[in-house]
Amino acid sequence: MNRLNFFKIHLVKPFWLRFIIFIIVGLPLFSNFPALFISQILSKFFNPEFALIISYPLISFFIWLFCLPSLGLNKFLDYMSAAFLMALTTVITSSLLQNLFPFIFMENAYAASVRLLRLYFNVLAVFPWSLTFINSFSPDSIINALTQLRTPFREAGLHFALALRVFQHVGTVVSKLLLIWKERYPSLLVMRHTGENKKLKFIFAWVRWLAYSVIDWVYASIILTFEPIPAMVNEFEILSERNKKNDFSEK
Amino acid sequence: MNSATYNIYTFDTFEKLVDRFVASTGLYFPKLSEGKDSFFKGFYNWLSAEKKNSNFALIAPEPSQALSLPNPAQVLYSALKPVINSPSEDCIFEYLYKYGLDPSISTQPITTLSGGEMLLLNYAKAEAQADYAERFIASNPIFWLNSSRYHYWLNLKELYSSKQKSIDVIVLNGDTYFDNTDSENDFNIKPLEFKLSIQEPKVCFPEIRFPIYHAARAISYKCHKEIIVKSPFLITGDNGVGKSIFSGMLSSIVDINSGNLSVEAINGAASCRLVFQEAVSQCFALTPEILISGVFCADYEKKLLAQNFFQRLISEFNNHEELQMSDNNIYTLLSLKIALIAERLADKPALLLLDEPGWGLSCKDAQLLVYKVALLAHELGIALGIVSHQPTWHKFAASKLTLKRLSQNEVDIEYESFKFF
Repeated sequence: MNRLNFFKIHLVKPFWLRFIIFIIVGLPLFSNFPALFISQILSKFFNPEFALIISYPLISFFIWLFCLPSLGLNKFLDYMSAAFLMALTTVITSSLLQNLFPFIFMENAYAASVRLLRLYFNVLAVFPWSLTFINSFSPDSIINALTQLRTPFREAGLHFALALRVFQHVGTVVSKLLLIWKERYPSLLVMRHTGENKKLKFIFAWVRWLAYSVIDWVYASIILTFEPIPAMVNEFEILSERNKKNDFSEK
Repeated sequence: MNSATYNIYTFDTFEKLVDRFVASTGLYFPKLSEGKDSFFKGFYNWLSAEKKNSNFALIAPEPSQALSLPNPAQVLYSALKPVINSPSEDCIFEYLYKYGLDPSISTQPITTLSGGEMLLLNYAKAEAQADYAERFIASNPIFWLNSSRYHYWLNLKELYSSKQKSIDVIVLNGDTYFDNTDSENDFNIKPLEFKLSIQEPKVCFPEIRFPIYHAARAISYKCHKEIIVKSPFLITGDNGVGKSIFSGMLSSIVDINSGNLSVEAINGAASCRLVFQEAVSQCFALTPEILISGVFCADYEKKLLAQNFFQRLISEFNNHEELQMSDNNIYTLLSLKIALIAERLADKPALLLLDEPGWGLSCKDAQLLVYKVALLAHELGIALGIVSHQPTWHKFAASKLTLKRLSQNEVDIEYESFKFF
């Protein structure tokens, strides 16, 4: 078990080294360069088009391996189920839009398919990577470490710590809202009160309900995530100021 | 030298209490009951305003608001850091223990703590801050506590007084501890019976391995019986004993791992609906009308019924000046609670549970609300349960279920019916 600790990214110290490792591992998610580089190597063994296609799942697989030891199998599978849901929704919607409005997407079918494939594997990798990233840093230890830095870096670091905490808070908000939603609509995706509507009328009502539910979720998530920010800002600034004073008095 | 003062400010509505808290601390505290437009406007104003740091020890109107970090260990570590260079785990445990909290909660996510545990953690944090905080501003500092734990407040008060630091307490009228002007009203409610079947339900919470390890936990309710319960009834017990989890199981939002828990009304209905402690979040930041319209968008008859219940209950508060302003789209926590209750009554469940119905309401409003809801619910054949540790509710209750901790993971349930009903 202890041997596995070596691979747990959230235990890497100091925190800036952990940050750098995360950025390096996550680079393929933001730049096409690593995929092209891998496909160039693979093209020595395979057809270049196939090499490019296979480079995307390879990168995703590498990122999953990177996150797995920290997350543990259960949490990893939880994140992956959400990632698959999101990836499929994104790709199916994009594909539908592409077929409905071909004049907007001026690209040939092959290029469009490769783009969708890349999008699919990117979403599958971004989800566990970003959640591992967000939860691997503790805002209070960042604030404590920042007291030794000079002003411009301190300011930037404080903003980073706050942003991190806000992102961490999103997870709590979503699970809280899910519980509330479950109490209101036990079937989650169907309204509780359907009345005596016939089939067609029911489908119409359901689509309308679903659309409003999405809007409600977006607003509620934003509002409940933003709600504690003023208190967080105040607390982070006090902590930073206090630690700084303490640090100077020790010197 | 500072002269320490101890001031108690009482208000009749949660909104006025929040206004006072904001004025005292300079900290923006959004009133979600006023809807999303008001929230975004307030948030924008806060963003564009010049920030003033308020170096106070705080208990915010919502106890979780002053706990910005993810778990109790981090909250206490940060609060102690300016005083002790590197606070040890033992030191953190000592602070938790001092306020009656089990050290095992140190790695538990803040949001999963009960209201009472959250408040006690606020106490522990305030004690850690006592050396450097300018003053202590506490809103509703007793509300979530069982009376057996009031002495923790006295200890904290003594500590701040001994350090010559002022304390401002902001509470709602009729607070059980600070403003015990309880009304002498008689609440005559004809009891309604329903069947409650408890068959040793057990809930398991899996271990958390990331980002911080927190051991798996289970709560087993050691009770195997079928009871004819008289409504309105009270679910009561010490802080953190598992009252909210029990209500969650009854309303099927908390999954039962083994055993069973069910209700059955005389009319055959078997569902249970719950109004959460955090009524504001439960509204999804929607105003009462939009909430009711959205829930019943496909059922016109029930929508009319819910609107009717809402109007009927709200008219009971005719002298409530804030509610009179609802024509101008200003809503209060009270109107949100009424909307949530009306929505659930229109569903005609077997049982309606109100988890800490008094939170954010003055004693008078809370009692009137629960009384009127009980009358309406019984008229519809719906039983009413109040989940609370507050003694105030005993005068409403025809019976009570007391949850008692037998061990770390075991809870006993005792049923008692009151003779005078």
